[in-house]
Amino acid sequence: MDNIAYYIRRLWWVGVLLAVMLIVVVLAVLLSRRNAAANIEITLVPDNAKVSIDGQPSKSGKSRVSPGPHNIKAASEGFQTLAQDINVTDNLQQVVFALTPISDEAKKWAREHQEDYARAEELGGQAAAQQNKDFAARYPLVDKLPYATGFYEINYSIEDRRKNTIYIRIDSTSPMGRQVALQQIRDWGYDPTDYKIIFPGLINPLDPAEVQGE
Amino acid sequence: MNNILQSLRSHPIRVVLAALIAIGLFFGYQQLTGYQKLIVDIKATDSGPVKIYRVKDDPKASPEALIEQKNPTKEVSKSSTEKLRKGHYVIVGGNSPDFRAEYSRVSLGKDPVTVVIDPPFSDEKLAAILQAEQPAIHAAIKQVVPGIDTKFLLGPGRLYEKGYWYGTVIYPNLTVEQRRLQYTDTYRVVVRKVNNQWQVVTLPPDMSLSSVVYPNIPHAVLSDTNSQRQP
Repeated sequence: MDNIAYYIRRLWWVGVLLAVMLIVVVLAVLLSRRNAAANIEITLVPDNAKVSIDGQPSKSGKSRVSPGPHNIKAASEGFQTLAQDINVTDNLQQVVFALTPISDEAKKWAREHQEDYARAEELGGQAAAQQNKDFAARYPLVDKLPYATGFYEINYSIEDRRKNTIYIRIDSTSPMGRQVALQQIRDWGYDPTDYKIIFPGLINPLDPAEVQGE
Repeated sequence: MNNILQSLRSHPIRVVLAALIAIGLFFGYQQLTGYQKLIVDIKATDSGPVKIYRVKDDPKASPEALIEQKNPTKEVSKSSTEKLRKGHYVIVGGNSPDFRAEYSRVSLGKDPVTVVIDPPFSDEKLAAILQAEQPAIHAAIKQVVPGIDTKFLLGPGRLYEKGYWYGTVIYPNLTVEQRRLQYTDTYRVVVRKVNNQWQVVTLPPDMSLSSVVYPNIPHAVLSDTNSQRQP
């Protein structure tokens, strides 16, 4: 009888050890899954403004969203509603809403909370700097643009603000200018294949739609 | 033994800490000295043996430089799962005359890695295939692109990968001398063989084909076609 009790007690401790190991494994799996979504951090002025992400109510502070384009809106009574289209990447992204006061009460509140607006402006600057960094990493060629010579100009335009996509414009009146512009992109170490490139004003003679329109 | 067990029972926190330390030591040991699986998936079974070389970690060195004067750690001739020491490897497929050698760099760490071996045909083999396929390819282009053979001409072009992708230039129908004196735009087009039929996949042809516009066309096919020049 004593032996049975002894072994039961031993089994109990083995069970405790196995439970601890299981908890560690489960925590590790949960942590790795959490890393799959991206983080955004929303700062609101006033801080009790209502915020929504893609139409769904959310909150200020850190939120988990899937990478890609999202629409974020902030509203508060007496203040102008603001909406922002952002493209969420893997890095923590700051989104700052400093709402403009409209009503007298809101203006009074704003005067009394200048430091909140100052802090929001500082965070907004950091957010813009991070967005510029992400943009530059995604489209390194734009660092060289605009670039103009006597024969051509290379520049870029935003194609879709929400998805943060661009296209490259090569303006030249001559085939040689266009060819040299493409070669210039290669000479800088970039592959024109990686960018959508258009030649404004040029009719593509091999495009039946453009030729007919002519 | 009983005294030990009694002592442990009266200090359960020590037990938990000891367990956590043991688990940590176990994973740390695995990280430092363990093995990991490399899954080699050979798509082209006639592309010759796949050679696996263990190399040092040097991101700046080319794969060819890393394996120079080295013997392969292992050679495999069919799809398999290999258990290798954790570290850095260069895997070379296409070790046969009809294929172009293809290099893959792999780092074996905490997770298994799958490498797909599907090397492209050699330039000589592709050129031989092109001789037979070119009339059909050009016919497919002429069906959808206006003015070929009248206002415009097709370049000889090039086949890519396993001979199912083709890219060429389209340029104005002028004499060589006229083109020398009058610089002209060069357009590019990519054609793909699907179900034994050649189909143009970049319409309309353009001066620079973009991987953003055509994400489903291999980047190397677009890039090389963009580099082709008028003959």
